[in-house]
Amino acid sequence: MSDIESPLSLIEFKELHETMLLIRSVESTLVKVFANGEVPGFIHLSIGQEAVAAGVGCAISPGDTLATTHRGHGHVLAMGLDLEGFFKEIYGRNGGVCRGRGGSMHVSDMSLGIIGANGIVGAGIPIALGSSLSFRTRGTGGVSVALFGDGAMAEGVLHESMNFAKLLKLPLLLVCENNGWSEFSPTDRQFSGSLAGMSAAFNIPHECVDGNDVEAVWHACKGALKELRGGHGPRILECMTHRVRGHFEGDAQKYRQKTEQSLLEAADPIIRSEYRLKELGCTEDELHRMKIHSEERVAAALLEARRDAEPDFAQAFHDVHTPVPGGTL
Amino acid sequence: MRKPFLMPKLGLTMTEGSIVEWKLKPGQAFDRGQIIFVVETDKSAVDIESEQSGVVLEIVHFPGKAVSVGGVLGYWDDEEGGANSESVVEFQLQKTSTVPVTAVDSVEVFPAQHQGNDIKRIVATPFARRLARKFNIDLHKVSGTGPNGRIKAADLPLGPATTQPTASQLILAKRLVGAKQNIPHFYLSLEVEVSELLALRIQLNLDVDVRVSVNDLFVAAAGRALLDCPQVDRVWSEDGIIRLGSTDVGIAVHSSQGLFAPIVRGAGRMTVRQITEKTRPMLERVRKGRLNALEMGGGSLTISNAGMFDVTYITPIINPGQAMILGIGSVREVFRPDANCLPSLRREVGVVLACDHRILDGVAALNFLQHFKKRVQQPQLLTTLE
Amino acid sequence: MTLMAYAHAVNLSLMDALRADDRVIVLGEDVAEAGGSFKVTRGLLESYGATRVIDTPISEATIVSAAVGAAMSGLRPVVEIMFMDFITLAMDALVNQAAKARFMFGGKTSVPMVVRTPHGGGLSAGPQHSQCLEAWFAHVPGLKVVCPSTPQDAYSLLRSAIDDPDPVIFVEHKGLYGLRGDVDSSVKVPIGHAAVVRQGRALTLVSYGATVAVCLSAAKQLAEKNGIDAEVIDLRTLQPWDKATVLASVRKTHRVAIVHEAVQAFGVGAEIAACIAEDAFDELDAPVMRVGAPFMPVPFSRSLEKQYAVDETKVVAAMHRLLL
Repeated sequence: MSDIESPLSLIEFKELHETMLLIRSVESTLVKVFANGEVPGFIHLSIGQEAVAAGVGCAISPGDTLATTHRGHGHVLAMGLDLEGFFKEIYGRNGGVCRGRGGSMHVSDMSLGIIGANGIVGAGIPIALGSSLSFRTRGTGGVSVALFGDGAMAEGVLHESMNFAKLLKLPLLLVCENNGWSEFSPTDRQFSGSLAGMSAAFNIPHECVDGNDVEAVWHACKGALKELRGGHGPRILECMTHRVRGHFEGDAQKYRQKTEQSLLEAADPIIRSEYRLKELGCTEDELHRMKIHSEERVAAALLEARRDAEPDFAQAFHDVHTPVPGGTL
Repeated sequence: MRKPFLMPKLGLTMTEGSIVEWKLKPGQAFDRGQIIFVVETDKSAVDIESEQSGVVLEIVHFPGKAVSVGGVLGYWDDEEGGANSESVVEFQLQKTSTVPVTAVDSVEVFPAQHQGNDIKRIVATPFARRLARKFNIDLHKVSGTGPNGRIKAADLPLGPATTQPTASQLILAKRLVGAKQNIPHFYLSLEVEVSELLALRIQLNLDVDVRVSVNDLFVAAAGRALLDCPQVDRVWSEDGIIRLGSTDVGIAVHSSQGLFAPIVRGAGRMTVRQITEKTRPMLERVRKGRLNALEMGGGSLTISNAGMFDVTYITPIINPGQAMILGIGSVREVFRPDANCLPSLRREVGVVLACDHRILDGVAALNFLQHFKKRVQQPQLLTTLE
Repeated sequence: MTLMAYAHAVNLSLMDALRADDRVIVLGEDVAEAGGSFKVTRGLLESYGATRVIDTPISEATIVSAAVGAAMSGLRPVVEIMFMDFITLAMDALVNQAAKARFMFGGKTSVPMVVRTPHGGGLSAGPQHSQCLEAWFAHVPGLKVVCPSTPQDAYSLLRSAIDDPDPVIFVEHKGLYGLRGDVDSSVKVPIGHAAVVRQGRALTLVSYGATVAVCLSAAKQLAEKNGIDAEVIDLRTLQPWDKATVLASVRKTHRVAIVHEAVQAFGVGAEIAACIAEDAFDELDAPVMRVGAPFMPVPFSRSLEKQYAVDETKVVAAMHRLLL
């Protein structure tokens, strides 16, 4: 465990909990509306992985950047992405955060420091590396975080990025959400090594944490970020967690054992967080209200999304290139 | 596979034909090279033979019916199975005809890809087509020089918008510009009666091989006038005014090669017949572009006779190096009052003498012109040497 | 105005860009300490230091992606891919990331990066070190592709590329690095503008990169021997290409051939030819022609590569065919 400079305050813990509740509510709602056929394309849900999203998302500071994956709803919501804009994007509407151009896999907002959600496995890692390079060049003290799943461990760009970041001592935090599954295959059949082993090979400090314990994730992240801001080079945080739903919605998950289900319930990060909050003095009532509040927010945002206008096709051409004043484009 | 017999295109302009005779009936088999039917166009009758063997299935059009080029005449089976298709098989044409064949521009076997309505296909570039539309040119009447007989823009009967001058055009242009810029021209004109001249000519040309031309008479008259007025037989040069006294007279000649002014040397001291003998071969050589250096250049005067056209006066440009040029218009019949003020028929030519004012003044020029007129009006004297 | 080699013009452009804007960084394999395998980045490290001129490991995919991330985070990176053939390793970074970031994130971000890479053969470099792959990138919405043929254009277009808010693939020709020409660093050449480098009326040759000089030689030959005056256009930018200039020329000459060193099949010429056929159909007095390399990897043997190359003879033959 890393050194904790200041412990997690109750307010901060509640914030983490609310974040997780919001994510859970959003993702559960998406299960339903997707099944209804309201949502175009594919969605990849992160139910069960809320603690990583909340722990990381709330730990990083304004000015830092974060790159996420196709399973990034939780991450971007934890970064503060506008909820209505999020739903509108899922629905492909004009008011979406990407104006309907990207969809579920690409929900992001540069102004919040989200440098993209990527449909290519591992692609966000070197992009975050580039972002950390810019922080080093400009000397801002900022940090870039790349979130990736255990499925990306076999991608060459991860290995290349670990090497490159270490050589240049870049302020890059690599956070692996290890849920044991690489799409439809268990990770141990996909990857012959371990993240810990790889980190050692590149001399990058590696920390493993219970990804379903939001406190632990938050503390580990905070500690790592501090080290990074000190200019000591990249770090790796491996968060062990569980993916409840399939690789994508519609995936019947026939490849998973039924016995896994009960384990998942036991590991639910929200239940664990509730337990801890009660330990710290929160009432049932308060917790219940927090839950209702996030559900209401989600319902309202969904309503807006359902009635938002379709994007304009001609307008879409304007986003292929940046308009140059007086230019030909 | 069932296939159609199609009316072939037997000429560039053919739009329809008719069957004269079917050589086979439905159900009859045929070999490669066998004549299936005979087609009549407005020019000829042509036997059509098959490039493949098969069996006639059906006759659609019988003899006498006009069918458009590409139209279906009947059906046959190539006995090769496969889905029925409307694809066309090329037919070999056998030009044995029962009627004399007038030349057809090109015999176009019906193209293999038969699609759409436009059977009469002209091969032309898009640009050529656009120009043809613009200038209302019928592409059927144009033969193409591009690959596959493709009509290109250059094949259309359009002059190019701009052409580059040839070397001789450029030289001539330079000379003429020079003449106009450097020589101060002034002009005098007269009407000259030529009835006597014309009558003399007829007389001179009775029973001769080499006929005297009107122009020869004018050359003779001009030569004598130079002899009469030696003070005009001079030219301006860088070194000063050169007195020639040679009575050389130039003749302005237009040929396909350009504009030439061969010189009859000493025309003032020659009879008209001598002039004729001199000029005939010279004019031949001009036609062939084979004038030699001695025949060009020199003299103070050229005659430019436009009489063969219908023109009243021509006001020519002095040949650089000379001092005068005499423009002669066509013969006109006019009525003039005689001594009794009664109308009298004359035959006249309008004569314009252009002079280099550096050498000649009006008086001298007019004097010369009057002498020329006198010589023309007393042509008998031109036949002998004085 | 100074006479200098093409490589030097690129070097000067980078120097001037690094000085003018401290957001500009240069990265690539052996660009810093070694000054680049073709010496194009010589002296940059000494002048601007290791924070801004960065030697990377041999990780094309990651270094180009890093340029994307750096560009999205406020820098103007100029990343080098040592031989265009190696750009295949960075295809995700260019096609899925750089090209699409602006669009798929709703037009709220841009990726002001430049990838510099030398293409082309003629140096017996073999099949994996001689390719011209620019057509691939011209086909990707979101990318710009530039290919200068002279030292002046190399200087000016690289400055324009670095200033451009969008990702630009800047294609140099390894065989042109020694080409000398006058460079005036105050001259600006905007992206998307072609240059008519020879005026003529008989036919139009459209080209870019090393084959522009080949076209000029062919045009000179035809002018001297046959009195035929060809117009030659240097596209300079491939995406977006200067359609207006090309079509104006076709309207004047009615005959056109597109000439490039890259493989003819499915190349840049194919797109230009199709556009001409569609938009200037009624102006054409001959089929639109292309002259490109045969459908074969670039061979190593000198004699094979010579026959493979697009040379003056092939261009002259195409010109004659246009005039048939």
